[in-house]
Amino acid sequence: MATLFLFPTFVGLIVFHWLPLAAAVQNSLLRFSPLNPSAATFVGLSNYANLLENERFIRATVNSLIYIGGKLALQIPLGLGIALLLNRSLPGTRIVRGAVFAALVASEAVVALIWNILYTPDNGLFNAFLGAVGIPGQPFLTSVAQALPSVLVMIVWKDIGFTTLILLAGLQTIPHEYQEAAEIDGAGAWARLVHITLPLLRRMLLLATFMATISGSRIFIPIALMTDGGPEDATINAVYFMYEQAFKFQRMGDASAVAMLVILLLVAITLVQARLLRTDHEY
Amino acid sequence: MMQNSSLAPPPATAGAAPLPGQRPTWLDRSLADVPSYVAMVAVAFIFLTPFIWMFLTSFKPTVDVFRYTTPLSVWTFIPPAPTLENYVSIFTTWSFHRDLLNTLIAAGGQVTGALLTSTLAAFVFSRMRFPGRDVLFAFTMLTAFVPFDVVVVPLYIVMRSLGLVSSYWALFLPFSFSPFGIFLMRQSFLEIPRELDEAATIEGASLVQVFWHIILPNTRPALVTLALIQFMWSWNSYLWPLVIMQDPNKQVVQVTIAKFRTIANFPLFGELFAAATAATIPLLILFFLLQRYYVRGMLVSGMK
Repeated sequence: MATLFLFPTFVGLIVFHWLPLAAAVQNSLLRFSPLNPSAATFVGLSNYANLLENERFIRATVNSLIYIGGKLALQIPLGLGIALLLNRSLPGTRIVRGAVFAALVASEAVVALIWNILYTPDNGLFNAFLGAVGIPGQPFLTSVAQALPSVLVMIVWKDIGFTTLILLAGLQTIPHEYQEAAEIDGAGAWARLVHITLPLLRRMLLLATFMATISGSRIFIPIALMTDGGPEDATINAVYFMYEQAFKFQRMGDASAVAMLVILLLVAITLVQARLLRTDHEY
Repeated sequence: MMQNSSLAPPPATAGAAPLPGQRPTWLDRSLADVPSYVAMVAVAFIFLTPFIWMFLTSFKPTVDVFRYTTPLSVWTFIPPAPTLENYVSIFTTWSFHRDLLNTLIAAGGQVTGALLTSTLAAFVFSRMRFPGRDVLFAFTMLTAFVPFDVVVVPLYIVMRSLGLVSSYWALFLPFSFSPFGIFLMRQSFLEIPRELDEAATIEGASLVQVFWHIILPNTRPALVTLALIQFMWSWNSYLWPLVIMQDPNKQVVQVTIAKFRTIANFPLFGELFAAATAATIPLLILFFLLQRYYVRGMLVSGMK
């Protein structure tokens, strides 16, 4: 009976998850075009060697790290701030919560397309707001210096709801009495945050950090729909580079090698994070 | 779900903290809340403005989309000559209803498949005992850690060798087997007391009857949660349909919306706004109505 119940699931997992993963490992050792799969030739690790000498790939990898770092630096503190704000039962909290979650629910493609138009240099809404407060128009996505930060801001706006959600759930498990006791002892808001809230929130902060790291390493839609990696490769990342190799240049071997390197990089980063944020105490 | 402090006002997290030993008055408390309100208005403004602008601009003809943005005025948002022509255009010229239907088919397939396989597998992992069960469960969970981007290329090749490229099946079949779903359903099955189904078994109920008449009816909230999360994942997916669906008549909304940027010699901005609105507003309404389930699902999917 168990076999019968598990059969569909395992066929599906093997065919659609494990088989492709195994194929990705194998493909990374081949020179391989999907247009002519029978002509695939074994090239060993040379795909990897070529990548490490490819300046564009190096640029894409460095940018991937910048996206991850920038996302963490913005999304975790801002998400925490919004979570703290929403953890109070002031009137109007529900509207703010709804607004933040609307960005989370909306599709990345729609958000990327709309923000692309918001960022328009000449008549875009962002420059209209800047103009209203006397700041000259900015080039945003068309400038080498501003393109990556502009993409990053959009991604943080889109994803911050998830960080807020996790941290809000964590905040609600902290007993009210802790805060009140500290307040009676004269601890100010900042001291209570640093000495009570954050230590108690450590596990949720770790989860939020993991999730932001993983999503930061997988940014694809905003790059495909806003910048195509440009200008001058300013916004390209490893996943977009992989997509180009596979579906623009039909170089499946190289694309698979990129995929393997991304996995390795991600595992390394999350291991370091787990170590840094390790919880010594269970609360 | 929010903390409700009916006895004491919540502690101020910002602003004028009272001196130690001095009891804050009601007025002090209210003043201390001012920064919070300012922050709340700012956050609501930042997160709602793009949606409000998208919605209102969808009623502007393409020539007006950029016309009134600078300098900032009410006409930046309010259409001076509101029109439904963008909506008429996407539904008549571009058959956007077909894309909506395709997206519904893909989402429906994914939700159905995931509910079916997840509940069956979770039933095995929560109720049956046999050697190797825990190894199989660990194997299943490991699958969740394979990032999808990594397998897009080989998955495309798998689909091609199955002859499924550009079929509806291709849109949802790979996502109908969900480690996240198995995990979620197993958690909720484990909360049902074993005595309940053991009693039924003693009375002669078969495993299938226990599954259908006891386990499933008692886990409706979890089923709704899983359905909702899978629906959202499917509705919002872009890369996979872009790669696997080469038949424009079976394409999904997200890919079609993106096409309005490049479909003609000049971008069809009016159509883009109308399509983005048509694809977003129903989803937002659905999620506000079912927010309770959605929040729980997202929390469980911390592993996604």
